[in-house]
Order: sequence, then C-alpha cells, then structure tokens
Amino acid sequence: MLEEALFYRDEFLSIASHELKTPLTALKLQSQIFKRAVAKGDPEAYSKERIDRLMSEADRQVDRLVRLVDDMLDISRLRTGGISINKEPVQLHDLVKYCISRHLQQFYTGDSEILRRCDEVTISCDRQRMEQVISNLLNNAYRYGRGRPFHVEVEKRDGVARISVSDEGIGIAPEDREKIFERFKRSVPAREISGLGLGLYIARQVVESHEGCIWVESELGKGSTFIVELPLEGK
Amino acid sequence: MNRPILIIDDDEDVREIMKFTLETEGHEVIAFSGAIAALEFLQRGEKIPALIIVDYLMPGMDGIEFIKELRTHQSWEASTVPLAISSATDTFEATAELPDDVLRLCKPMELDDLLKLVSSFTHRQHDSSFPGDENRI
Repeated sequence: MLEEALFYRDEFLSIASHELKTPLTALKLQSQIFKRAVAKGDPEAYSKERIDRLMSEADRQVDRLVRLVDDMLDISRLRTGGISINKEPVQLHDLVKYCISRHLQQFYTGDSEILRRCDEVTISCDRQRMEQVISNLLNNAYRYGRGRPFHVEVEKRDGVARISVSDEGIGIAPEDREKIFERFKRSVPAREISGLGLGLYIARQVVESHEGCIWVESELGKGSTFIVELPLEGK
Repeated sequence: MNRPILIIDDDEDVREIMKFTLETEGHEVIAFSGAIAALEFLQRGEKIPALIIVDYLMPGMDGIEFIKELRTHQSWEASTVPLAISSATDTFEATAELPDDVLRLCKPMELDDLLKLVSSFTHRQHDSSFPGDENRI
C-alpha cells in the first residue's frame, strides 16, 4: 500500500515536472528570440504584428502554468482541510454555456452543437469552483475524445440538476472507473494524454462539497459520459 | 544543398516556437506532431534532414522508440542522420539505453544551445567538423 502510494507520488512529481517545463520551454524560447532580435537591432522585432504574436503566445503559456499551479495548490488545500466554498444562486445552464463559449475555439470539432439539451436550472454553488468542474469535464471530453464530437446536456430531473458530458473517445475500462477520481491516478499512461491527472479528483471533491455526486458511465472504444448531479437551489 | 531540420514534438506550442526560431535563423524546418508520421516521411527519403530533434515523451511512439526504429532501418538514408532527444522530464535515466551519439537536450533549453546544436550539424555538411565531445546540452 505504502509502496503503491510512493509510486504514484513519484510518478506525479515526474509528470508535474514535465507539465510545468513544457510551457516554460515555449515561454523561454519566445523571450530569448525577442531579446536576440532586439540585440541584433532587427526592426521587425518592434513590429506590431510580431509583438502581438509574442504577447498572445506568452499569455497562453502563462495561462497553462496558472492552471497547473492552481491544480497543485488545490491538492495541497484538499489535503490540509478542504477547499473553501462560497455558495450563491447560479443559473447552471448559463454557466455551462459560458464554459463552452470560453473554450469553443479549442473544442471545435466540426460539430457546432455541443450543447444538446439545456434546461433552465438554478443551483446554489461556488460559481468559480463549479466552472472549474465543468471546464475540466469539457477538457477531458476534448482530450480523450479522439477528435470526435462530444455533447453536453443540462437537465432538471427528479429534484436534481444534472450535467452530462458525453464523448466518443477511447472509453474507460471498468476497473479504472473509480480509480480516475483518485488523486494522481489516470486511466492511460501520462505520455498518451498530457495533464497532471488531478482534474477529476478535484472535480469530485468540489461536487461532494456541494452535496452532489459525480460518476462515469463508459464503454471501451465507444466513449464515456461523465455525470454530475447537484441539489437544486433551496433543496 | 541545405538540408532541413526535422522536429518531432507533440506539444504544438513548443513545436511551433522551435520551428519559428530555426526558420528565423535561416534553416528549413519540417515539423511533425508524432513519431510515426515522421518515420513515414523519412522512409520515403524525399528529403534527408541534417538533424532530427525528437521529443522524449509523446503519445503513441515515444522518442526512444522512434530512434530505435529509425536505426533499425539501415537501408534508409535517414537512418544515419544525427539525432537529439529533448525532454522536459526530471532525468534522462530512461534514455540511458540510447546510443552515445544521440544528443540530449533538456527542456526548457537555452536558445543559444538550440542554435549551437543546429548550426554545428548544418555546418558539418559543409566543413565536416563535428560538435564537441559533450553529448548533453
């Protein structure tokens, strides 16, 4: 048991190192290219186009780093007593639409109808944390979805709000369906799909701290559906 | 005739910035996001690179598997092309099994190191000088 925990911890440290150094590689080369062009007196270095490109690329790398660091800090917070949840009434359908639109360019798979059903439903939740959960599920559907379309549904049913995110990806073996929600665990080797392997663990902690539940239904080779159920506001 | 530099890296941002960097310095660059597509390209033998820089950790076929596979095809002209393996992982332990002539490039790399590495091999085509005996950048 201890050996297994140490193995996963070491593997996580190795993955974390890789994940952090990858955006740093792009960032470092970008800044050094600019520095070199300036030192050479290259007038192109100061062109609006060049600076725009440099800044937007640098911004993207910083965003990648911020997401990674946030996930790692969350793990630390969860280990030392949980994350703080500040609930407020949130229109879940609007939040899901917002998350999809935020990542639409990245998610575009040729199928414009990501959101298949969208019931109007209000829940009481920490908006930022719930956005993190939804974005995480969307990201997973995109990354594990083999480039095929994926779909989202927001439903109000049986006294709960339900979000389901379905992909047509590689699927998850039955023995891995619980494992993927554990800290540092993943269903595929790190080299196959990048990421820290923390997203679903954090998602489950956030959902459970809202008295909700999250699980996956899946068929190997056919795809997976991640389902989140949350109490309606006032329940 | 100048030979291109072949870059294989699954991370689009890293791949594109390395390509841009080397192109800015006047090198022709051919980039692939995966090792299998790169092998298919090399098998065709249309263009033989001056240097191949392959990422270590990639989905499908990783950098080590790529190098081993390439070197087994001795009939391919590209099988003797100089190779560098780049890695953002903590150590290069896993690359210990690779031949000594495969260079190691640690991410995040210094721009100067990358340019030095590439120019040493592109110059080599003309003046046959070989880069230093240090195989780790």
